[in-house]
Amino acid sequence: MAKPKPRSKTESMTYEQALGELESLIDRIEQGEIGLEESLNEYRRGADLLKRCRGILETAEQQIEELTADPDANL
Amino acid sequence: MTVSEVADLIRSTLENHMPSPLRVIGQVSNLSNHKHWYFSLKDEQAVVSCVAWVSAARSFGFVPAEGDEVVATGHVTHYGPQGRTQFYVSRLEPVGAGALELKFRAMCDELRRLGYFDAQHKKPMPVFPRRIAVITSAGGAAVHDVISTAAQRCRAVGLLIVDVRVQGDGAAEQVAAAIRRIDADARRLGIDAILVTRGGGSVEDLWAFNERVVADAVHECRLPLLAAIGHESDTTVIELVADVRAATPTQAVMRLIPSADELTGQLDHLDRRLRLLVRRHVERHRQRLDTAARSALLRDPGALVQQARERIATLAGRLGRATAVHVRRRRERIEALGRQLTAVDPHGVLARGYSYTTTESGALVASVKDVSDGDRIVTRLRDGSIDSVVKVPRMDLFDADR
Repeated sequence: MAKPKPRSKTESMTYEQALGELESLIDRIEQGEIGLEESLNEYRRGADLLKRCRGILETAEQQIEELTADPDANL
Repeated sequence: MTVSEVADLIRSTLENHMPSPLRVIGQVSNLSNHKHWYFSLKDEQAVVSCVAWVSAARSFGFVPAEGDEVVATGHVTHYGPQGRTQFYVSRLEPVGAGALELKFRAMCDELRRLGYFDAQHKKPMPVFPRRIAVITSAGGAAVHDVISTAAQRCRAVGLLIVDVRVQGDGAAEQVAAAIRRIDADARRLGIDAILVTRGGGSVEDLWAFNERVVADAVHECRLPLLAAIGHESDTTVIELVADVRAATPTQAVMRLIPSADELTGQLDHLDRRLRLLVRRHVERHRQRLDTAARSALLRDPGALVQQARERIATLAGRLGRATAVHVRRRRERIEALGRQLTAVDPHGVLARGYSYTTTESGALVASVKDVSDGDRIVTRLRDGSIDSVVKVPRMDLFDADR
């Protein structure tokens, strides 16, 4: 069995990264060619990814910053 | 040639060889606008007489005063019955706007030639931007629409409002500089897309967004850039060069920021699918386990031993039988050989009354030539032997010539 790639921590993932991994993970389980234990690991990973995506969407306050057109101003 | 023929020739020559539509800039004079409009367009050297049918005149939206500069659009033809060559005007604009429009068209033609509008340059918008730079006037109407729409869509997407002049002197330069600055520093600022926007206004108000400096900055921008300038009916150069154009600031934000509600729905769907898949997967494994558990072997392990024992017994029986047959066959063969041997044993022949003779040294005497007068010979019989001395061995006559 191929060694699974080391996976990045979900907390630092962007929404798109987490969603992308979640979709490919579901595809993998759907193919059905993984063992029972592996599928349970995948499920736990999937749940983490879902949590990350939901966490991003549930951000309570929009970050709004303002920048003046003064080219010398510090960004 | 008749007059009518000349008139037709003039008309067809004009219609075939004059550009159409024709755009003419000039001063209005002698306007008569009771129903259809009759007037002249003139400059310092020449005069062209013009007609605008009432249906066209209604769409002009203004009535020029004597001496006003206008841009007229239409075609030139010759009217035979009155022998007049006239400019039929379908569109009339005051020169300010008209002149700007001519400038706009010229700019569009040039940028199109340079490939600024080509579809191959259009970059896709990010699916879920982390942060969007909004280049607009912080005091304008557009920024409110942007912020309130963003709040409705998804609060997770950050906004960086870059305050610039959106009309008047220096506006185009400020917009261009802001685009270049954000694009250059996108990674550090965490910006995934740029929105350049402003609310509605007159053609002059929106003019900054038609300037070449802005077009160049947008064309060279590596970040996906969306432009929404003025109302839907307004088209500006920046919107043609941008990757995506939106009709209004609100629509621009809706295009850029996904709806959190929709995304949550999508996540719920993925969640259900994941659970269902794993449950099915586990169920499949359980079924395989059940099938294995139901097999005869696992239900009664003793059966396996019994089976093995039976097999051994069968083999032992076969071995015994095979050995017995083999031994019997060997015995029969030996007995047959024994019988054959007995048949050829010379002593068996002696038993039936025959005898044989040898010399004293034991050599068989098979012919009279084997012995001479006076030789001692031994004759073997069934129950002993007789020693004799040869007296005149006699050859049988019928054997003599052998």
